[in-house]
Amino acid sequence: MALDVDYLILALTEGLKSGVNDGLRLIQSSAKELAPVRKIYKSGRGKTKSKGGPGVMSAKTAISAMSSGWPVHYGRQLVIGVQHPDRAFMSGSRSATHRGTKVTRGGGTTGIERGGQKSATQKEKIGGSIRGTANSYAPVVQSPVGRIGGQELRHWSTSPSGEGVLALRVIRKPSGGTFNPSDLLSSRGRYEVRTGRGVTTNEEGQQVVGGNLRQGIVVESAVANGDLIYGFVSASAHDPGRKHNYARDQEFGSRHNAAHPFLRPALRKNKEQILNLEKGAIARALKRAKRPPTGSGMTNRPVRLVARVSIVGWRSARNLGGFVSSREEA
Amino acid sequence: MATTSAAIKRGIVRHARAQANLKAAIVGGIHEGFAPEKVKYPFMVYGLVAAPYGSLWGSRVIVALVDMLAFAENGVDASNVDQLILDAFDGAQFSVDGQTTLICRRIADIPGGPDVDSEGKKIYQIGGSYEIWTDQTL
Repeated sequence: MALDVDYLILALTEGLKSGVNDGLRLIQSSAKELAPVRKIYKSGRGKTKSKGGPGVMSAKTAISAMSSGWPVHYGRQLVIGVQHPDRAFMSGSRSATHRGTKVTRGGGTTGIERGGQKSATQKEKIGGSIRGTANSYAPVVQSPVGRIGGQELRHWSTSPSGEGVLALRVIRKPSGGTFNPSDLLSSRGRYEVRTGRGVTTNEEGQQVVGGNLRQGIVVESAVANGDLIYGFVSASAHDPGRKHNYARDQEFGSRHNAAHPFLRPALRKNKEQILNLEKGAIARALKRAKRPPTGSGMTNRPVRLVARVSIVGWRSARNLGGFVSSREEA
Repeated sequence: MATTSAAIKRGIVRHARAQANLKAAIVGGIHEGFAPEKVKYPFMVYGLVAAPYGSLWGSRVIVALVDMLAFAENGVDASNVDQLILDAFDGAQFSVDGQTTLICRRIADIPGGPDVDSEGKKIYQIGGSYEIWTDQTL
Protein backbone atom coordinates (compact mmCIF):
# COMPACT_ATOMS: atom_id res chain seq x y z
CA MET A 1 0.00 0.00 0.00
CA ALA A 2 1.42 3.40 -0.89
CA LEU A 3 0.92 6.02 1.78
CA ASP A 4 2.34 9.36 2.76
CA VAL A 5 3.87 8.84 6.19
CA ASP A 6 3.58 12.41 7.44
CA TYR A 7 0.02 12.75 6.36
CA LEU A 8 -0.75 9.29 7.72
CA ILE A 9 0.55 10.24 11.17
CA LEU A 10 -1.46 13.44 11.09
CA ALA A 11 -4.61 11.62 10.02
CA LEU A 12 -4.07 8.89 12.60
CA THR A 13 -3.54 11.39 15.39
CA GLU A 14 -6.71 13.28 14.56
CA GLY A 15 -8.69 10.10 14.00
CA LEU A 16 -7.54 8.52 17.25
CA LYS A 17 -8.20 11.69 19.20
CA SER A 18 -11.72 11.70 17.89
CA GLY A 19 -12.06 7.99 18.73
CA VAL A 20 -10.73 8.53 22.25
CA ASN A 21 -13.16 11.38 22.79
CA ASP A 22 -16.07 9.20 21.64
CA GLY A 23 -14.90 6.50 24.01
CA LEU A 24 -14.63 8.94 26.89
CA ARG A 25 -18.17 10.10 26.29
CA LEU A 26 -19.33 6.49 26.34
CA ILE A 27 -17.63 5.94 29.69
CA GLN A 28 -19.05 9.18 31.02
CA SER A 29 -22.54 8.18 30.03
CA SER A 30 -22.24 4.73 31.59
CA ALA A 31 -20.65 6.14 34.75
CA LYS A 32 -23.55 8.53 35.15
CA GLU A 33 -25.95 5.61 34.93
CA LEU A 34 -23.96 3.61 37.46
CA ALA A 35 -23.26 6.42 39.92
CA PRO A 36 -24.98 5.85 43.26
CA VAL A 37 -27.87 8.14 44.06
CA ARG A 38 -28.78 9.35 47.51
CA LYS A 39 -32.48 9.33 48.15
CA ILE A 40 -33.10 13.00 48.68
CA TYR A 41 -36.57 13.18 47.18
CA LYS A 42 -39.60 11.48 48.55
CA SER A 43 -41.00 8.93 46.17
CA GLY A 44 -44.24 7.06 46.43
CA ARG A 45 -44.76 8.06 50.02
CA GLY A 46 -45.35 11.12 52.10
CA LYS A 47 -47.67 14.04 52.28
CA THR A 48 -47.32 15.22 48.72
CA LYS A 49 -48.09 11.86 47.20
CA SER A 50 -51.09 11.29 49.41
CA LYS A 51 -52.82 14.35 48.04
CA GLY A 52 -53.48 12.47 44.81
CA GLY A 53 -54.45 13.81 41.39
CA PRO A 54 -52.94 17.17 40.55
CA GLY A 55 -50.93 17.10 43.77
CA VAL A 56 -49.03 14.06 42.59
CA MET A 57 -48.49 15.59 39.19
CA SER A 58 -47.23 18.77 40.73
CA ALA A 59 -44.85 16.93 42.98
CA LYS A 60 -43.34 15.07 40.05
CA THR A 61 -43.06 18.25 38.09
CA ALA A 62 -41.54 20.00 41.04
CA ILE A 63 -38.92 17.32 41.54
CA SER A 64 -38.14 17.45 37.87
CA ALA A 65 -37.79 21.21 38.09
CA MET A 66 -35.70 21.14 41.24
CA SER A 67 -33.33 18.66 39.73
CA SER A 68 -33.05 20.47 36.42
CA GLY A 69 -32.58 24.08 37.48
CA TRP A 70 -34.09 27.50 37.28
CA PRO A 71 -36.12 28.88 35.63
CA VAL A 72 -38.52 26.13 34.78
CA HIS A 73 -42.09 26.68 33.81
CA TYR A 74 -44.49 23.83 33.40
CA GLY A 75 -47.66 25.15 31.79
CA ARG A 76 -50.01 26.51 34.36
CA GLN A 77 -49.24 23.85 36.88
CA LEU A 78 -46.18 24.92 38.69
CA VAL A 79 -43.24 27.21 38.59
CA ILE A 80 -40.30 26.25 40.70
CA GLY A 81 -36.66 26.97 40.77
CA VAL A 82 -33.55 27.14 42.81
CA GLN A 83 -31.43 30.21 43.21
CA HIS A 84 -29.51 32.28 45.70
CA PRO A 85 -30.33 30.45 48.81
CA ASP A 86 -29.95 31.76 52.21
CA ARG A 87 -28.98 29.45 55.00
CA ALA A 88 -30.53 31.84 57.45
CA PHE A 89 -33.94 30.87 56.23
CA MET A 90 -33.34 27.21 56.23
CA SER A 91 -33.31 26.78 59.93
CA GLY A 92 -35.76 27.28 62.71
CA SER A 93 -38.84 25.60 63.94
CA ARG A 94 -40.67 23.99 61.11
CA SER A 95 -44.17 24.55 62.46
CA ALA A 96 -43.57 28.15 63.41
CA THR A 97 -41.95 28.96 60.10
CA HIS A 98 -44.59 27.09 58.25
CA ARG A 99 -47.50 28.94 59.74
CA GLY A 100 -46.43 32.43 60.53
CA THR A 101 -43.09 33.47 59.12
CA LYS A 102 -42.98 36.11 56.49
CA VAL A 103 -39.90 36.83 54.44
CA THR A 104 -39.42 40.47 53.64
CA ARG A 105 -36.79 42.52 51.96
CA GLY A 106 -35.95 46.16 52.32
CA GLY A 107 -33.05 48.55 52.17
CA GLY A 108 -30.60 45.89 51.05
CA THR A 109 -31.07 43.82 54.16
CA THR A 110 -33.17 40.80 54.69
CA GLY A 111 -34.96 39.60 57.70
CA ILE A 112 -37.58 37.23 58.89
CA GLU A 113 -40.57 38.74 60.53
CA ARG A 114 -42.94 36.96 62.75
CA GLY A 115 -45.84 39.02 64.03
CA GLY A 116 -43.90 42.22 63.31
CA GLN A 117 -40.93 41.22 65.48
CA LYS A 118 -37.79 39.42 64.57
CA SER A 119 -37.18 36.58 66.95
CA ALA A 120 -33.84 36.57 68.69
CA THR A 121 -33.04 33.12 67.41
CA GLN A 122 -33.76 34.07 63.85
CA LYS A 123 -31.73 37.24 64.12
CA GLU A 124 -28.81 35.10 65.21
CA LYS A 125 -29.31 32.84 62.28
CA ILE A 126 -29.28 35.65 59.75
CA GLY A 127 -25.94 37.00 60.83
CA GLY A 128 -24.23 34.00 62.24
CA SER A 129 -24.18 30.31 62.61
CA ILE A 130 -26.87 27.98 61.40
CA ARG A 131 -28.87 26.18 63.96
CA GLY A 132 -31.71 23.76 63.82
CA THR A 133 -32.08 20.18 62.83
CA ALA A 134 -32.18 18.42 59.54
CA ASN A 135 -35.95 18.45 59.49
CA SER A 136 -36.31 22.09 60.30
CA TYR A 137 -35.87 23.30 56.76
CA ALA A 138 -39.10 25.00 55.77
CA PRO A 139 -38.93 27.19 52.72
CA VAL A 140 -42.20 29.08 52.89
CA VAL A 141 -42.35 31.68 50.16
CA GLN A 142 -44.08 34.96 50.73
CA SER A 143 -42.57 37.61 48.55
CA PRO A 144 -43.95 38.03 45.03
CA VAL A 145 -41.30 39.41 42.71
CA GLY A 146 -42.70 39.05 39.25
CA ARG A 147 -44.30 36.76 36.76
CA ILE A 148 -43.14 34.07 34.39
CA GLY A 149 -45.63 32.71 31.89
CA GLY A 150 -48.51 34.20 33.79
CA GLN A 151 -47.48 32.55 37.04
CA GLU A 152 -46.80 34.62 40.05
CA LEU A 153 -43.27 34.25 41.28
CA ARG A 154 -42.57 33.91 44.94
CA HIS A 155 -39.05 33.52 46.11
CA TRP A 156 -36.58 33.55 48.90
CA SER A 157 -34.85 36.70 49.82
CA THR A 158 -31.15 36.49 50.16
CA SER A 159 -29.05 37.85 52.94
CA PRO A 160 -25.76 39.65 52.25
CA SER A 161 -23.93 36.66 53.68
CA GLY A 162 -26.00 34.10 51.85
CA GLU A 163 -23.96 34.08 48.69
CA GLY A 164 -23.53 30.74 47.08
CA VAL A 165 -25.99 28.94 49.28
CA LEU A 166 -29.15 27.39 48.05
CA ALA A 167 -32.60 28.85 48.16
CA LEU A 168 -35.68 27.28 46.79
CA ARG A 169 -37.64 29.70 44.78
CA VAL A 170 -41.20 29.97 43.55
CA ILE A 171 -43.85 27.56 44.12
CA ARG A 172 -47.38 28.04 43.12
CA LYS A 173 -50.01 25.49 42.29
CA PRO A 174 -52.87 26.11 39.86
CA SER A 175 -55.31 26.20 42.71
CA GLY A 176 -53.55 29.25 44.06
CA GLY A 177 -52.07 27.63 47.14
CA THR A 178 -48.40 27.61 47.88
CA PHE A 179 -46.42 24.44 47.52
CA ASN A 180 -43.80 23.71 50.09
CA PRO A 181 -40.72 22.23 48.40
CA SER A 182 -39.53 20.70 51.62
CA ASP A 183 -42.51 18.35 51.31
CA LEU A 184 -40.79 16.91 48.26
CA LEU A 185 -37.56 16.21 50.07
CA SER A 186 -36.83 13.23 52.25
CA SER A 187 -35.33 13.74 55.69
CA ARG A 188 -31.90 13.13 54.19
CA GLY A 189 -32.76 15.50 51.38
CA ARG A 190 -33.57 18.33 53.79
CA TYR A 191 -30.27 17.74 55.55
CA GLU A 192 -28.39 17.71 52.27
CA VAL A 193 -30.01 20.95 51.17
CA ARG A 194 -29.53 22.64 54.51
CA THR A 195 -25.83 21.85 54.58
CA GLY A 196 -25.38 22.61 50.91
CA ARG A 197 -24.15 19.10 50.09
CA GLY A 198 -27.14 18.32 47.93
CA VAL A 199 -26.86 21.49 45.91
CA THR A 200 -24.84 21.77 42.77
CA THR A 201 -24.52 23.85 39.65
CA ASN A 202 -25.45 22.25 36.37
CA GLU A 203 -23.87 22.78 32.96
CA GLU A 204 -26.03 25.82 32.34
CA GLY A 205 -24.84 27.42 35.55
CA GLN A 206 -28.13 26.84 37.34
CA GLN A 207 -28.27 25.65 40.89
CA VAL A 208 -30.07 22.37 41.24
CA VAL A 209 -30.98 20.01 44.03
CA GLY A 210 -29.49 16.54 43.78
CA GLY A 211 -27.32 14.90 41.15
CA ASN A 212 -24.09 16.29 42.60
CA LEU A 213 -22.02 13.23 41.79
CA ARG A 214 -23.48 12.78 38.32
CA GLN A 215 -22.89 16.44 37.52
CA GLY A 216 -19.29 15.95 38.59
CA ILE A 217 -18.52 13.19 36.10
CA VAL A 218 -16.75 15.02 33.33
CA VAL A 219 -14.60 14.29 30.33
CA GLU A 220 -11.14 15.73 29.96
CA SER A 221 -10.76 15.69 26.19
CA ALA A 222 -8.09 13.69 24.45
CA VAL A 223 -4.66 15.20 23.99
CA ALA A 224 -1.68 13.99 22.03
CA ASN A 225 1.54 13.80 24.02
CA GLY A 226 4.49 12.16 22.32
CA ASP A 227 3.45 8.68 21.30
CA LEU A 228 0.36 8.77 23.43
CA ILE A 229 -3.13 10.02 22.86
CA TYR A 230 -5.04 10.04 26.07
CA GLY A 231 -8.01 11.49 27.83
CA PHE A 232 -9.74 11.05 31.15
CA VAL A 233 -13.12 10.72 32.69
CA SER A 234 -12.94 12.16 36.15
CA ALA A 235 -15.44 12.49 38.96
CA SER A 236 -15.67 14.95 41.76
CA ALA A 237 -18.46 15.85 44.13
CA HIS A 238 -18.63 19.07 46.04
CA ASP A 239 -18.93 18.54 49.76
CA PRO A 240 -18.79 21.95 51.40
CA GLY A 241 -16.91 22.24 54.63
CA ARG A 242 -15.60 18.69 54.60
CA LYS A 243 -12.35 17.23 53.46
CA HIS A 244 -13.90 14.06 52.12
CA ASN A 245 -13.96 13.46 48.43
CA TYR A 246 -17.41 11.97 47.99
CA ALA A 247 -16.65 10.63 44.51
CA ARG A 248 -13.55 8.87 45.73
CA ASP A 249 -15.34 7.45 48.76
CA GLN A 250 -18.02 6.01 46.49
CA GLU A 251 -15.56 4.58 44.00
CA PHE A 252 -13.16 3.00 46.49
CA GLY A 253 -15.11 2.91 49.75
CA SER A 254 -13.97 4.28 53.09
CA ARG A 255 -13.94 3.39 56.76
CA HIS A 256 -17.56 4.44 56.93
CA ASN A 257 -19.12 3.21 53.73
CA ALA A 258 -18.76 0.35 51.32
CA ALA A 259 -17.60 1.11 47.81
CA HIS A 260 -20.14 1.69 45.07
CA PRO A 261 -17.83 1.75 42.06
CA PHE A 262 -19.13 3.52 39.00
CA LEU A 263 -16.12 4.64 36.95
CA ARG A 264 -14.22 1.38 36.64
CA PRO A 265 -17.28 -0.73 35.83
CA ALA A 266 -18.19 1.90 33.21
CA LEU A 267 -14.74 1.52 31.67
CA ARG A 268 -14.99 -2.28 31.61
CA LYS A 269 -18.51 -2.23 30.27
CA ASN A 270 -17.45 -0.22 27.24
CA LYS A 271 -14.03 -1.70 26.64
CA GLU A 272 -14.96 -3.62 23.50
CA GLN A 273 -16.92 -0.75 22.07
CA ILE A 274 -14.05 1.65 22.68
CA LEU A 275 -11.61 -0.68 20.92
CA ASN A 276 -14.01 -0.86 17.98
CA LEU A 277 -14.20 2.93 17.89
CA GLU A 278 -10.43 3.08 17.74
CA LYS A 279 -10.28 0.46 15.00
CA GLY A 280 -12.80 2.50 13.02
CA ALA A 281 -10.76 5.64 13.57
CA ILE A 282 -7.61 3.91 12.32
CA ALA A 283 -9.44 2.58 9.27
CA ARG A 284 -10.79 6.02 8.44
CA ALA A 285 -7.36 7.57 8.91
CA LEU A 286 -5.83 5.03 6.53
CA LYS A 287 -8.49 5.79 3.98
CA ARG A 288 -7.83 9.50 4.25
CA ALA A 289 -4.07 9.03 4.14
CA LYS A 290 -4.35 7.25 0.81
CA ARG A 291 -5.59 10.51 -0.64
CA PRO A 292 -3.48 13.36 0.77
CA PRO A 293 -4.84 16.86 0.08
CA THR A 294 -3.91 18.21 -3.32
CA GLY A 295 -1.15 20.78 -3.24
CA SER A 296 0.22 19.47 0.08
CA GLY A 297 3.45 18.51 -1.65
CA MET A 298 3.27 15.11 0.01
CA THR A 299 4.27 12.09 -1.97
CA ASN A 300 3.24 8.52 -1.54
CA ARG A 301 5.81 6.17 -0.11
CA PRO A 302 5.42 2.52 0.82
CA VAL A 303 4.82 1.99 4.53
CA ARG A 304 3.92 -0.83 6.87
CA LEU A 305 1.62 0.17 9.66
CA VAL A 306 1.50 -1.33 13.13
CA ALA A 307 -1.06 0.32 15.37
CA ARG A 308 -1.34 -0.60 19.00
CA VAL A 309 -4.37 0.42 20.98
CA SER A 310 -4.44 -0.14 24.69
CA ILE A 311 -6.85 0.66 27.42
CA VAL A 312 -5.64 1.25 30.93
CA GLY A 313 -7.39 1.99 34.17
CA TRP A 314 -6.96 5.12 36.18
CA ARG A 315 -4.04 7.33 36.90
CA SER A 316 -4.54 9.03 40.20
CA ALA A 317 -7.07 9.98 42.82
CA ARG A 318 -8.05 12.99 40.80
CA ASN A 319 -8.52 11.00 37.66
CA LEU A 320 -10.37 8.00 38.93
CA GLY A 321 -11.21 6.62 35.53
CA GLY A 322 -9.97 6.91 32.04
CA PHE A 323 -8.11 5.19 29.35
CA VAL A 324 -5.13 5.74 27.18
CA SER A 325 -4.89 4.99 23.54
CA SER A 326 -1.42 4.68 22.16
CA ARG A 327 -0.22 4.22 18.65
CA GLU A 328 2.97 2.91 17.19
CA GLU A 329 4.00 2.87 13.62
CA ALA A 330 6.89 1.25 11.86
CA MET B 1 -22.07 -26.82 37.59
CA ALA B 2 -21.34 -23.22 36.64
CA THR B 3 -20.27 -20.90 39.44
CA THR B 4 -20.27 -17.13 39.66
CA SER B 5 -18.06 -14.40 41.04
CA ALA B 6 -19.25 -15.41 44.53
CA ALA B 7 -16.93 -18.40 44.26
CA ILE B 8 -14.07 -16.03 43.51
CA LYS B 9 -14.84 -14.02 46.65
CA ARG B 10 -14.89 -17.21 48.71
CA GLY B 11 -11.59 -18.21 47.15
CA ILE B 12 -10.04 -14.85 48.09
CA VAL B 13 -11.05 -15.16 51.73
CA ARG B 14 -9.92 -18.78 51.89
CA HIS B 15 -6.55 -17.89 50.38
CA ALA B 16 -6.08 -14.90 52.69
CA ARG B 17 -6.86 -17.00 55.76
CA ALA B 18 -4.39 -19.63 54.61
CA GLN B 19 -1.52 -17.11 54.82
CA ALA B 20 -0.21 -17.32 58.36
CA ASN B 21 1.60 -13.96 58.26
CA LEU B 22 -1.37 -12.12 56.85
CA LYS B 23 -3.84 -13.77 59.18
CA ALA B 24 -1.72 -12.83 62.19
CA ALA B 25 -1.35 -9.24 61.01
CA ILE B 26 -5.02 -8.49 60.42
CA VAL B 27 -6.26 -8.47 63.99
CA GLY B 28 -9.68 -7.15 62.95
CA GLY B 29 -10.20 -9.88 60.38
CA ILE B 30 -11.40 -9.85 56.80
CA HIS B 31 -14.54 -7.99 55.78
CA GLU B 32 -16.51 -7.52 52.60
CA GLY B 33 -17.53 -3.97 51.71
CA PHE B 34 -16.76 -2.28 55.00
CA ALA B 35 -16.09 -3.30 58.56
CA PRO B 36 -18.39 -2.76 61.55
CA GLU B 37 -17.64 0.13 63.86
CA LYS B 38 -16.11 -1.80 66.76
CA VAL B 39 -13.67 -3.90 64.76
CA LYS B 40 -10.06 -3.70 65.90
CA TYR B 41 -7.33 -2.33 63.68
CA PRO B 42 -5.70 -3.38 61.43
CA PHE B 43 -8.17 -5.21 59.27
CA MET B 44 -8.64 -6.08 55.62
CA VAL B 45 -11.59 -5.16 53.41
CA TYR B 46 -12.24 -6.52 49.96
CA GLY B 47 -14.91 -5.61 47.44
CA LEU B 48 -15.85 -6.81 44.00
CA VAL B 49 -15.79 -3.95 41.51
CA ALA B 50 -16.81 -5.69 38.31
CA ALA B 51 -16.90 -9.22 36.97
CA PRO B 52 -17.81 -9.33 33.30
CA TYR B 53 -18.15 -12.75 31.67
CA GLY B 54 -16.46 -13.75 28.46
CA SER B 55 -17.89 -16.76 26.67
CA LEU B 56 -15.73 -19.08 24.64
CA TRP B 57 -16.63 -22.35 22.98
CA GLY B 58 -17.46 -24.63 25.88
CA SER B 59 -15.99 -22.42 28.58
CA ARG B 60 -16.54 -19.15 30.38
CA VAL B 61 -13.93 -16.70 31.51
CA ILE B 62 -14.68 -14.32 34.38
CA VAL B 63 -12.44 -11.30 34.68
CA ALA B 64 -13.04 -10.09 38.20
CA LEU B 65 -11.71 -6.78 39.47
CA VAL B 66 -11.40 -6.83 43.24
CA ASP B 67 -10.25 -4.05 45.56
CA MET B 68 -8.33 -5.20 48.63
CA LEU B 69 -7.66 -2.59 51.27
CA ALA B 70 -5.83 -2.51 54.57
CA PHE B 71 -7.12 -0.23 57.34
CA ALA B 72 -4.85 0.62 60.25
CA GLU B 73 -4.28 3.30 62.85
CA ASN B 74 -0.96 4.25 61.35
CA GLY B 75 0.38 4.35 57.86
CA VAL B 76 3.21 1.89 58.53
CA ASP B 77 0.85 -0.85 59.72
CA ALA B 78 -1.44 -0.23 56.78
CA SER B 79 1.47 -0.43 54.34
CA ASN B 80 2.77 -3.61 55.97
CA VAL B 81 -0.59 -5.33 55.71
CA ASP B 82 -0.93 -4.12 52.15
CA GLN B 83 2.46 -5.66 51.37
CA LEU B 84 1.35 -8.96 52.90
CA ILE B 85 -1.79 -8.87 50.76
CA LEU B 86 0.35 -8.20 47.71
CA ASP B 87 2.65 -11.12 48.58
CA ALA B 88 -0.33 -13.38 49.02
CA PHE B 89 -2.26 -12.50 45.89
CA ASP B 90 0.04 -11.06 43.23
CA GLY B 91 0.75 -13.91 40.84
CA ALA B 92 -1.01 -16.41 43.10
CA GLN B 93 -2.94 -19.43 41.92
CA PHE B 94 -5.61 -20.07 44.51
CA SER B 95 -8.52 -22.45 44.37
CA VAL B 96 -11.93 -21.22 43.27
CA ASP B 97 -14.87 -23.60 43.45
CA GLY B 98 -15.78 -24.81 39.98
CA GLN B 99 -13.24 -22.56 38.29
CA THR B 100 -9.57 -22.53 37.46
CA THR B 101 -7.59 -19.44 38.35
CA LEU B 102 -5.69 -18.25 35.32
CA ILE B 103 -4.28 -14.96 36.47
CA CYS B 104 -4.32 -13.01 39.72
CA ARG B 105 -2.31 -9.84 39.65
CA ARG B 106 -2.30 -6.41 41.18
CA ILE B 107 -3.05 -3.86 38.52
CA ALA B 108 -3.11 -0.62 40.49
CA ASP B 109 -2.70 1.01 43.85
CA ILE B 110 -5.73 2.67 45.33
CA PRO B 111 -5.01 6.23 46.35
CA GLY B 112 -6.33 7.39 49.68
CA GLY B 113 -5.43 9.77 52.45
CA PRO B 114 -6.01 9.28 56.15
CA ASP B 115 -9.61 9.32 57.32
CA VAL B 116 -11.14 9.85 60.75
CA ASP B 117 -13.29 7.13 62.22
CA SER B 118 -16.33 7.47 64.48
CA GLU B 119 -14.14 7.74 67.58
CA GLY B 120 -12.08 10.54 66.08
CA LYS B 121 -9.05 8.34 65.45
CA LYS B 122 -6.98 8.85 62.35
CA ILE B 123 -7.30 5.85 60.06
CA TYR B 124 -5.08 4.95 57.14
CA GLN B 125 -6.52 3.13 54.15
CA ILE B 126 -4.02 1.59 51.75
CA GLY B 127 -4.63 -1.05 49.13
CA GLY B 128 -4.80 -2.04 45.54
CA SER B 129 -6.94 -3.43 42.75
CA TYR B 130 -6.43 -7.01 41.71
CA GLU B 131 -7.52 -8.55 38.45
CA ILE B 132 -8.47 -12.20 38.71
CA TRP B 133 -9.10 -14.26 35.59
CA THR B 134 -10.84 -17.58 36.02
CA ASP B 135 -11.96 -20.18 33.54
CA GLN B 136 -14.69 -22.78 33.89
CA THR B 137 -15.93 -25.50 31.61
CA LEU B 138 -19.62 -25.29 30.78
